[in-house]
Amino acid sequence: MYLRENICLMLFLSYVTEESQLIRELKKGSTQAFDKIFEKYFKRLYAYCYRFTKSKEDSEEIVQDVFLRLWNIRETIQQEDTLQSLLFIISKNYLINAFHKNIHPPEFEDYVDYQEKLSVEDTQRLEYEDFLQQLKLALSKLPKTQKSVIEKSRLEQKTNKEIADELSLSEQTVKNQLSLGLKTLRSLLRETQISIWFLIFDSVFRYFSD
Amino acid sequence: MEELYRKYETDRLTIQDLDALRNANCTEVSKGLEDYMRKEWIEGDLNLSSVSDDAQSRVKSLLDEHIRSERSVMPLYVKILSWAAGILLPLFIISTFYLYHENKQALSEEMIVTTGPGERATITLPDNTQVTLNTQSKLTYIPKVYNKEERRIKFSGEAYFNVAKNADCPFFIDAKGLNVKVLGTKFNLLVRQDEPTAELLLESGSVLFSSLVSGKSAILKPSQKVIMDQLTGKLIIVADDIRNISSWRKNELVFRNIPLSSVIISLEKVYGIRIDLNCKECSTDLFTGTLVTNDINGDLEVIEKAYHLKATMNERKIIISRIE
Repeated sequence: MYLRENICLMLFLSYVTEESQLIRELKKGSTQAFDKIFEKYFKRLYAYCYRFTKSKEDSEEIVQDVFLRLWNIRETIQQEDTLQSLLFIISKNYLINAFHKNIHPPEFEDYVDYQEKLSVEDTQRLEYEDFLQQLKLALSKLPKTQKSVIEKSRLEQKTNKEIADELSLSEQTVKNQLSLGLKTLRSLLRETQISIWFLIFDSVFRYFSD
Repeated sequence: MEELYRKYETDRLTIQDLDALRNANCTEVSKGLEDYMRKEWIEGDLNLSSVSDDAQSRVKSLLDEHIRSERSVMPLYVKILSWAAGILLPLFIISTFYLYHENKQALSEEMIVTTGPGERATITLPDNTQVTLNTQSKLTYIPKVYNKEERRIKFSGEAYFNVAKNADCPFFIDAKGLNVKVLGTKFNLLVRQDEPTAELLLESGSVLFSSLVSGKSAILKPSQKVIMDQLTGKLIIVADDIRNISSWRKNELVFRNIPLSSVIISLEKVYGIRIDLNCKECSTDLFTGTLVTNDINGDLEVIEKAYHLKATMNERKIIISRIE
């Protein structure tokens, strides 16, 4: 009993002193200390960022910015600070912004719709950025006007009349282009993992209402 | 609320959940989100094995680059001290300011978007509000605060606003002599530093427009335009045709009974070039018509024909005069 407790205490102390040693050295500008901190926290910080940004590229960028900031403010760090809290505070606003950036645009609504409609057995569920990529790829294969009309209607949330004015088309043409485009998208997506969702994509019918 | 964040993280939201997240009160979302994030960071079961080693080495080398380049300033500093050379010293000071400035930019609070003469730009704010800026306009907001406690921007110039709906978090515009408050709506706002009046034309929704000088305010309904005198702060509300709202977005300038001199000024602003109208009698003539914003020669032709004038261009400006 004594031994176990002693070992726990020693491990805890060594952890604590290791951290405070790292901080002490980081404050003095030691790149070795910085490297060790990077090794220790990169993976966790990255995984954590990804949970909120849902984008590998953004996560990489944010993690880089966070560590860079940590280095830049090294002299102002207090000895009593913990690396855990420092990294949290530095990354906080980046991630809150990323969260807001994700939930507001219409594309995310489509994604929520997609994963709502997936059944429990569907093992192939796409991550948000892969979903966006497949949708974007399919859109890029559409004829120019169909693509333009669908983007303006769904992504820019313009009414049929606004689109008609912008592209100098009649409203009827806009409606036709929309339905043609969606038909084409359906067949393009048939081979992909989001085909099943698109078949039951009933927010499609929102397109036709002004 | 915590439940919703968890669902967001694990991609298990429903459409109603998403609505709730979007409409949640600003402070509610930011405080709750922060607490949730802290818990995730400290205790969350994060799947570390999915993180690629590529990403790690990529980030590491970028960081090493930054840190090494910063450190190379040091030897230079030591050299200068020991040489006491006045030639290298100013160079060093400039590069230090540059590095410091670069650093400051990264930590800077404000996000500023400006358009120059003849330019237009559309920006999307963090809550999906879309703003299309006309020529020579400027919009400022603070990313750290925007959409967390309130939605507030500083603005000058002209822009078309499509403000995302959020009843719990009103959208404010601070501009010269006035303040605008909206919940979710579309409108065109024109408030320039050098103009005697400001105006807002409401397309849909509702806005509260207040004058800072007179303290008066007005609640607008769609198709209403408020005109404010910058000097007195007096407000006038008129009914207006919203069919042409922000026609400048469509590369068009629509004029209805506007004195030619004002038309010329609009063209000057759009194209960023000086235009002299050497014709006293015609400067007060009223012009009704549509000009484009991307073809100055076409526009000049229209004016030439309408008033029997001739336009000549040199590198500095355009001169319009009577045909003799």
